Amino acid sequence: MNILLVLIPISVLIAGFFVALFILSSRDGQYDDLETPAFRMLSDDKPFEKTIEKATAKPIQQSIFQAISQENETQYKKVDSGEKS
Amino acid sequence: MSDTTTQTQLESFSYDDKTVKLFSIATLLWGAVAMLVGVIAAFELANWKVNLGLEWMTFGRLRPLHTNAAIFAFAGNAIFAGTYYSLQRLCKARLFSKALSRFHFWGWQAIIVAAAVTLLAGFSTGKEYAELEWPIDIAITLVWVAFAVNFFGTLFRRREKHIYVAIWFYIATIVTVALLHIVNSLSIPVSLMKSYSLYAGAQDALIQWWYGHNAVAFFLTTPFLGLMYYFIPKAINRPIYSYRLSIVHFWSLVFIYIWAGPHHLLYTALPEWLQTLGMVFSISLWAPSWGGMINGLLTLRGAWDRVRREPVLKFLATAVTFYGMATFEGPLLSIKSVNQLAHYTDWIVGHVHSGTIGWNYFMTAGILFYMVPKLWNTTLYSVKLGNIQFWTGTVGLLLYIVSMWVSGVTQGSMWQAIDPATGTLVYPDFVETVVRIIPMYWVRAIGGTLVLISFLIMIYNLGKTIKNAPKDQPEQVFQAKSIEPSEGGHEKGHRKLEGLPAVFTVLTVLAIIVGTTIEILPSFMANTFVQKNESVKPYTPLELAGRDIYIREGCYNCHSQMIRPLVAERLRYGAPSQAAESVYDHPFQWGSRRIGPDLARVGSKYPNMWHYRHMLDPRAVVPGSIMPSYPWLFQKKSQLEILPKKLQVMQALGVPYSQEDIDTAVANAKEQAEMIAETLAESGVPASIKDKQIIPLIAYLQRLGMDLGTDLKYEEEDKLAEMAAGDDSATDPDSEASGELPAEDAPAEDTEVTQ
Repeated sequence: MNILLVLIPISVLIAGFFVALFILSSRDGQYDDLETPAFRMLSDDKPFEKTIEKATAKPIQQSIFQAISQENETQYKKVDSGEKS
Repeated sequence: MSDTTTQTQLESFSYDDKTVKLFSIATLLWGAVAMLVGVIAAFELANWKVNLGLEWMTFGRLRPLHTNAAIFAFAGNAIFAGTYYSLQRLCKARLFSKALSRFHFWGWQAIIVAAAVTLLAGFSTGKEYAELEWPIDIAITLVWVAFAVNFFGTLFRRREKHIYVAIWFYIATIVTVALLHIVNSLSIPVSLMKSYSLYAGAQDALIQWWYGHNAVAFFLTTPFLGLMYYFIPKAINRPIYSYRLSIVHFWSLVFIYIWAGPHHLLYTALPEWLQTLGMVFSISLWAPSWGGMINGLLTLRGAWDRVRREPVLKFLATAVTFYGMATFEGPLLSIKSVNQLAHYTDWIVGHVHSGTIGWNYFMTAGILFYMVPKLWNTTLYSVKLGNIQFWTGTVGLLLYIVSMWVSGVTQGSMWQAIDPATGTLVYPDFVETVVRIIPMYWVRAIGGTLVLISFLIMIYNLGKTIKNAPKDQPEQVFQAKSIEPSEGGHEKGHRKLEGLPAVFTVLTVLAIIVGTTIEILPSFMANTFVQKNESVKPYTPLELAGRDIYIREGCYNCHSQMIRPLVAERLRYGAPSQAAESVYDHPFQWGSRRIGPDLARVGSKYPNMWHYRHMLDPRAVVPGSIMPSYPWLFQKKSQLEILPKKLQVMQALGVPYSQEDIDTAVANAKEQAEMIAETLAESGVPASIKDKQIIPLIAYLQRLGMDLGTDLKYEEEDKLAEMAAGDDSATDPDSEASGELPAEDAPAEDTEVTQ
């Protein structure tokens, strides 16, 4: 079973790589926001059909949509920066 | 600083729902076909005459069709429908290419039709869940690449920077299935519809079950988990219980799953450390699997009343529950001591169906009930029918699982039952253990029928839903901002990682390759795994022809060729199989189920005439047998002309045939056929039988286990005599408990010997 002499170092190296990747990514703050995506996926497929139809007639409607998305985004950033500080 | 970017203009887009609709309809169609074939196969086990004496209706041909149709046709189309639906919405982008979408759809359906025709006609590679021959394998690869390009093209054009957890599961699926399929299907063609696996024996077994296990992992699990992470929150309009857990779930699952394959080969001639590795990783799978299940179920917390009322949630919640059950059972069955009883029995069959019916079918039903009304802009035709379908399906599934538990444990215990007084098998006739479980086969067939009925109810319900939908609906238009590549400057870590699908894909590939390399590469690199044995010789040309008939008729679906080092198996079948014995087996035929007895050492056990009568009418020599009759083997001519080509391919694969062997293959085969025909003539069989297919099959069966036969036989007799001597003390009532000890010790001892 000479093959184990090759196998064990390879396994240790690779396992180590994944542990390192996990530690690095955690330190880097990649798991900071684990809330918003779960909520965001719920709201994205409401058809904007009617909004859009009206929007072409009344541009105000479109800006309402923009305002909403902008609001979301600023909130989002607040959470982001809030946790970092 | 990015205030200006939020002012970016909105882009209008719509979704390619036509493709999703097509895949949804195909899911319904192939689901019914797969289940119908399964039900017929189930009734054939209860009563073999159900095959109506038709060659293409025998269990050996239907079973590969059933598994391939259920996995690749039914679950496959469901995955494509659900993935394309959710991917577009999560990415806020239309499918990348209409042409690719259509090619993907029609290509996949053409593959399914080709698979159905060729499998029934007996074209098979002889590797479970990968029976399709090489031209279809190439087609699968092409269509899969089209799927991948379409998928990643859509992902690159997304208007939502964050890649939702569901998409990661899809990415893992696409990348891994491609890898699995290509590596396992590598073979050298003999003719248009015949090829030999690149690998042989133990190596082929290892690769096959690395594939087979991961087909379950990456075709029936990860894509459906992705769908779970999309459709459960959507259906209940609540976020997933823990997004954090879903990320942990993903990484741990893809990393651990890829290592678990060897648990299909416990106690076989595979090196023991590899078996232990597979077992350890299988048990580790408990954690991520249950993490995912809990995450799905807790999303429903506080809304269980809706699960009671709405078919969508009812199916999704039950599916996740069955996922939890199946992923509890799986690691349990991977524990060597449990596997010792359960392997080769119906318990495994029941386990698989609690996964495919309970998890995949019910997930698909929930997804279709959610998607179809939305796609056709209408409401579900009948909630009541949905409930009826649910209960019919659930009762059918429970009948299925429970009957298979009972059957599996019964048969497994009967196989291993040894009379402590005499040290002999309590049920020496295999057929006794078969007859005992036939009532369970009836229960299973009825359970399966109920599941089929429930599926037909769904087809009716959804068909009516689609029919009642308003016609000529305009495509809905959506709006969203495009994502600016430069915007990501302030984003770090995982957010950045998610923004780079290419990087993410590379990391996933890496995680998978790690597992793959460590488990498979060694078997290429060194022959230290296989104890070389000079007395193992390649098959004669006639035996090779017979082996191909064995594969064509799907004998491996019911007969294993791998004797485990357990006392009961040694008593019943002979010395444990060694890796050295199958070094020239392209493909390996170790099998996974013993509906009939093991055949690894059947050679010379019976006279030629016994096999002749047995293949013509199994019940003539084994009363109570449930094996089909194979009358066509006595009418069809054996095709020996192709043998030189077959030997040539085998030679290229490393089987030591000389040029002379190849040149004289046909003459050699005819000579051996003549010899067998002569022995049959003694019992009054006409000489014209010599060029019929039964002759090569008999030649092959008589060769099985013969290479090491005599040596092993004497060794084995000595060992059994020793054991019997040990058992004598067991007759003393005081030491009755210790009487089992030699039996327990023997397998371990023997495993060392074979290594």
